[in-house]
Amino acid sequence: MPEQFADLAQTTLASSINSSVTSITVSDGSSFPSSGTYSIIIDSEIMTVTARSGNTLTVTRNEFGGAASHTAGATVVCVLTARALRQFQQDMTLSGTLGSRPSAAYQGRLYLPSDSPYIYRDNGVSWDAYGPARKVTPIVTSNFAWVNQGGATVTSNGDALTLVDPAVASDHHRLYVQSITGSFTVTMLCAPYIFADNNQFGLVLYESGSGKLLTHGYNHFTSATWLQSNYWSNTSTYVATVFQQQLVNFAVPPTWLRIRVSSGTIFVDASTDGYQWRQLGSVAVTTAFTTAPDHCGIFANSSGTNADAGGTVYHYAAG
Amino acid sequence: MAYELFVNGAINTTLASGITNVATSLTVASATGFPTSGNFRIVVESEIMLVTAVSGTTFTVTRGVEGTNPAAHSGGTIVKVSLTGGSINQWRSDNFQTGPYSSLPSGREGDLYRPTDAPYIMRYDATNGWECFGPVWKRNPPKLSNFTKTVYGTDPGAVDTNGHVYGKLLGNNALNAVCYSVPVPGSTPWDCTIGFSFHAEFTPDDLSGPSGRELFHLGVCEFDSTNKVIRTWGVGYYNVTGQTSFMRQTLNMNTGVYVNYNRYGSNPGINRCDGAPPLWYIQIHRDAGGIVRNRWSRDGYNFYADDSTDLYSDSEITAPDSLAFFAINNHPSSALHFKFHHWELTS
Repeated sequence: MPEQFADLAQTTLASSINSSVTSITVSDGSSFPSSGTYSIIIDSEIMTVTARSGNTLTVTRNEFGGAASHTAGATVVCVLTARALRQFQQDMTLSGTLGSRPSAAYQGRLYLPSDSPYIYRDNGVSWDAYGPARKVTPIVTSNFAWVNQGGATVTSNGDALTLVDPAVASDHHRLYVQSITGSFTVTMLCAPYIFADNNQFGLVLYESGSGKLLTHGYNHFTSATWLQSNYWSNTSTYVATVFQQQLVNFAVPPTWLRIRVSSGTIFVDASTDGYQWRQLGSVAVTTAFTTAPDHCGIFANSSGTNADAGGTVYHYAAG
Repeated sequence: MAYELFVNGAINTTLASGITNVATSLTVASATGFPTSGNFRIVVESEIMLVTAVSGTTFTVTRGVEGTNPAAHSGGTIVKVSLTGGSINQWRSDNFQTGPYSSLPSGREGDLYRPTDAPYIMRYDATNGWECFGPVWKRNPPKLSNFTKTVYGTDPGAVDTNGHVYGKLLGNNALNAVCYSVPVPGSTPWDCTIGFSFHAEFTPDDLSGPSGRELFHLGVCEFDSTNKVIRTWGVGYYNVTGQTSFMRQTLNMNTGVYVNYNRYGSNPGINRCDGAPPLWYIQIHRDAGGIVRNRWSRDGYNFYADDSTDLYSDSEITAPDSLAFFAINNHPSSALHFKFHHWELTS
């Protein structure tokens, strides 16, 4: 419940209090909010009320002005304070899991969930969902390094990262990767820029000792866009395909891509919202790699002289 | 920028010495209880001042805010903090600011931020700092009343609706074309961007219509309003390959005759038309030297230059005095539904 405010809420202390008690009794508490937090002032001490039961107020002492003893009959008034303003602001723009969202009751309140593809607005009666939009983590590239960079570049614009590989003939994956070992999951939301045949962009796993890699992303060929996962013995030598499917009929990016490495198997997944995932394919770690991948990241491969290849990354998380 | 600050209690003091009606600093007898930095409001007689900095007992002030009159005040005049209409308005503004992503405020729990250059709405979390929610594409919906309409063939009857412009260009075995224009900026450089989505009623691989023509085409264009010639840049469906592609062309809107026609690239094929993305951003960029480049984007923020050289010779169109968004339908029987979601002209 947001911070509470009350007009002309005034009463008196029913009995004297010392400077430390946290429960006080007033002569008539009926004009004070019955739940939520709010501020009152007695003499020159401001207290925060955290609960009211009849004429008994539970308070946090000395919000402002200094804790002091107060005598029976002292005036108790509900007041607007700096703390209340600050608290009210927080209370009107909340975040957390969808399950912990409070009941709707306060028009204009926003809820930005950490696990649901919507932004919610409280209309006073129920929560309206706007979206799809979800909590995303822009890519942090401080520990990223290039493998086979060639003429490829990355540029950051408002924390979205765009990777571009200029048009060059034949396969030559440009990898922009970070170290990672053991079991891990890497997830990305991106918009691919692939328009000429064999342009590719997506996620990549890389084994630095052997030079082997596994790609999972978008590939343009036969004049269409495909979602495809392949593994390669090096940045230019194709070995085999894990999964491929042509994207048609509005099944278009930006979509979410994910690779999971777990218990000796690599799983490639896709999602339209980052929450509901579909496993597209899998391959044994030791089929695609000599031992195991030790890097993950993003890649582009123009693989032809018709057009540059690349994409913009809105979300990237690995761990 | 400093946040609006609030303090409790009837904090007041007096002016240590008199001030003129234009003084931008003042000294108070005691600063006890006042915030130790800006910004907050004080009331001196009937004047409200915004305190932007505090150094000991010296306040740096903006005079006569919230419509009050700056006046001279004598030493000893009472100075008190006050909750004002302006402070509440500023508080609301502080809570949901906007600006470049690189200028994020320090942030307080619950603050919101709308970056002008990134596809997110952001919220400040006391533990995690600024968090991104999105992606939300850039949207600046055009209003038809701000544009001049030019039609060849059948008018699409476009209307402002639900935050975008919607129209339906008939496919009636004739060229139907429309553009909605505004004057070109008086100086270069400028960028003109349209964000749109569309639905063509025909199916992929349709090779009907006049041979070697687009069955539909839409995007942004330069416009010579005297000779009614448009030079386009957008997405179109080419009835030789049966593919949707980036394309550009020059069309006379008086006669329906193509002055020039250039598909972009040798085999671009952005995708089949039924696989086109839900929202395209297409931009004409003219640099200070008059060089025109075409760019496109999927989010309205991150633009991708499709060519590094000047794409046009100006002989194709004389004196383009306007910029426009446009749609063309050449299909024998199927309608093109277009939605223009975003229009941005910066210079």
